[in-house]
Amino acid sequence: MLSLMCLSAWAVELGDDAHLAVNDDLELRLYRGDSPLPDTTGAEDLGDYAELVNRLNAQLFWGVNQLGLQLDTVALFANSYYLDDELVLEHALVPDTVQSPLGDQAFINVEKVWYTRRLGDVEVQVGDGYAAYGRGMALNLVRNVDIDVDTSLLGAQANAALGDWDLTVVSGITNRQQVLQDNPNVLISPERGHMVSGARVDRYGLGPANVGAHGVVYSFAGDDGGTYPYGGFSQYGAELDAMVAGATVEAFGIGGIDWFLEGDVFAYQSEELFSGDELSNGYAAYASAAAYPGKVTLLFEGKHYVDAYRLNSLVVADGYAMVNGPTLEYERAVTEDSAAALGSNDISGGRVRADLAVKPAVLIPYASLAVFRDRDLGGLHFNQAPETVVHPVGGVDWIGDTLKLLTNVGYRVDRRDGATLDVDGDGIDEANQIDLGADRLAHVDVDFRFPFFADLGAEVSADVKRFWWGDNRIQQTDFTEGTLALAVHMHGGWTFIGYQDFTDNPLVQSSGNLDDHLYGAAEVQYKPNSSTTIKAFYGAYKAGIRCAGGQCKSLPGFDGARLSVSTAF
Amino acid sequence: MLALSLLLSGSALAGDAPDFSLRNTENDDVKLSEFEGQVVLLSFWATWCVPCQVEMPKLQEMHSELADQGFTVLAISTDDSRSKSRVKPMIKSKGYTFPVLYDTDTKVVTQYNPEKTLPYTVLIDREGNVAYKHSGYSEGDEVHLREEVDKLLAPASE
Repeated sequence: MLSLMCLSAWAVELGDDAHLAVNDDLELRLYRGDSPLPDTTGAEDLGDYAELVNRLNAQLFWGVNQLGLQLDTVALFANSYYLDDELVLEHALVPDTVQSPLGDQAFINVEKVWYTRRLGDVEVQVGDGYAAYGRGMALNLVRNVDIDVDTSLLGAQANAALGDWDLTVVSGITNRQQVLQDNPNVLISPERGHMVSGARVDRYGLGPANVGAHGVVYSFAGDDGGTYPYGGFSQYGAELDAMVAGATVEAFGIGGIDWFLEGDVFAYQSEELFSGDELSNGYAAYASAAAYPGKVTLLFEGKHYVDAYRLNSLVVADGYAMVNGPTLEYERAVTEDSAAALGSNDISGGRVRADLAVKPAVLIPYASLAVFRDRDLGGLHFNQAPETVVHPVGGVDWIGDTLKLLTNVGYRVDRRDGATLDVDGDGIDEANQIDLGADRLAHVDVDFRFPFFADLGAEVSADVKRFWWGDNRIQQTDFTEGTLALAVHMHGGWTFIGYQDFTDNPLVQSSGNLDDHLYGAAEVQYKPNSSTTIKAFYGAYKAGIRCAGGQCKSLPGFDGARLSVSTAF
Repeated sequence: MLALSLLLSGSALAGDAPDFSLRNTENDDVKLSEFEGQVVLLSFWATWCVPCQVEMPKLQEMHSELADQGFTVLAISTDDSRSKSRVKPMIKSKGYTFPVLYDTDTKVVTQYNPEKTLPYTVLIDREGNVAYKHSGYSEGDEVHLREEVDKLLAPASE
């Protein structure tokens, strides 16, 4: 903290025109060990350990220049003990394949560094940057720190805004975040930098329309790529692995409707991206339209994807996605094949949503209905047959002066076709003779805010999901899960929060601290000023899938204590 | 250090708030520097962010009430490409009139709010300096925010 204050002061010495912005997030986590040692007096706490994680973001601005740095550090404490005179390591932090000058119990990483200079209407950047083309079908590497999947492109890019023309070019290798900020750091994984280069041009002001076109090429690093980023060009091979070309059209007010259209074609060169034995290229078409008749807002989307997500299959092990197509899917609706709704290789269908402004900005009920045909049976999916997805959702936003209620309820059915499987091993498919049933999900979300005693504010946030499964290779047991949070905001910057999670999913990788299925926790937050937040948490929460920005990650549960300080200068 | 100091002394920025250029919901190019001389409230939000939805009516009230005093709200959507289609319909359905900008590739949020906490508020004074930052929204925060805005507006309105 002292060093940060020094940094801040240092900027003042540099001159009035320079500005240093610093954000720092420090978190100390004490994990309650999950593997108590048997028959060892007083050893039940040996498995406990502490983790200190810090993320420092510093950006120096001067004139038309910007220099940025993200420095991540992690250290484990009380992570080893002696048992029968032998040193036991509770958790390994740094494997042999990752260089660590701080030893195997601490890791420091210059996670992102970049320099940007604006030259008139052109902005040039070297170092770590982000890029998204169109609606993300061709390239979608954006800052996503919400679930520890932040991946940038380490290289160079230029953005030019020349009148009605915008031009973007980018080239670099992927740089995935290695230190996890919100989850246990167990075994820092070595990096694989995949080469990505692309260009996009947009032409604005063509009457009510804008058009754009883009192209992206990919070359993926092999598993034996060496130590990042010095693995050398040999790890990429002589050929490009994939090429993507696409175009977009956006038009406002034509026939009273705002339109967006995108088409992309995917040329896969690498055998690892092929579908079966055949060279199978892919394509994607997406359209959305919005109309505003009277108090109603109508939003429609339609899509037709064929082998559109194979690029992601080579980075599954890295835990992020290269491309991410648009969808209006309700993000919490995660079924066993959530990727089918969020990012299926082969899917067609549409969704329509209507919002009615009964009282604009105050009371808006809405309803949506999605119908999709998901044909994807491979890749990230484990469907045995194509399925038809039907998903109605209804909700209301009521934001009054004193009471606020945002709630929705939905019911999703993934109905599989009759199977055409060789179930008896005679080499003949028993066409349409096997009913694989349907996966069903009912979900409810509630966020309710109301005044509390003596002008204090209170919030109740809850979500409940109930799953019923058809014939499913992975999940066979119906289950319910939910979360509940009750927060009371006090005067003086204090907030008190109680959490409760429930899940009876037998496959979940955590167990409750109140009983097997029930988790409880409490947190106190204090904001001494607008730029600083201090949080103290004690208790447990469940493991599960969390999604953010179209990417989902299975995250571990937690049981223990946590102290975090976030501040900005 | 000396060399760096000399390099930095050549700055041309009027204030310390980094300038940016983003497209709004009508695809017009909007630069922060176009609002020089005004008090600007940058509000980083997303369509899926519940506290953002609760805060927005308060921002609309301030935007409507104080526009003639040289105040504007720039609501910067951090929705990525995936959910960009939701942004304009949501704004139109709720009747908000402040400018809404797309930061689809996260360049501006990385500059102002690298942790991407939402909602995130940045107040910029008439000289282009960052005067106030605030993360999150809970009931009553708008009262303090309004006090900060009034302080920044006061010299020009007197």
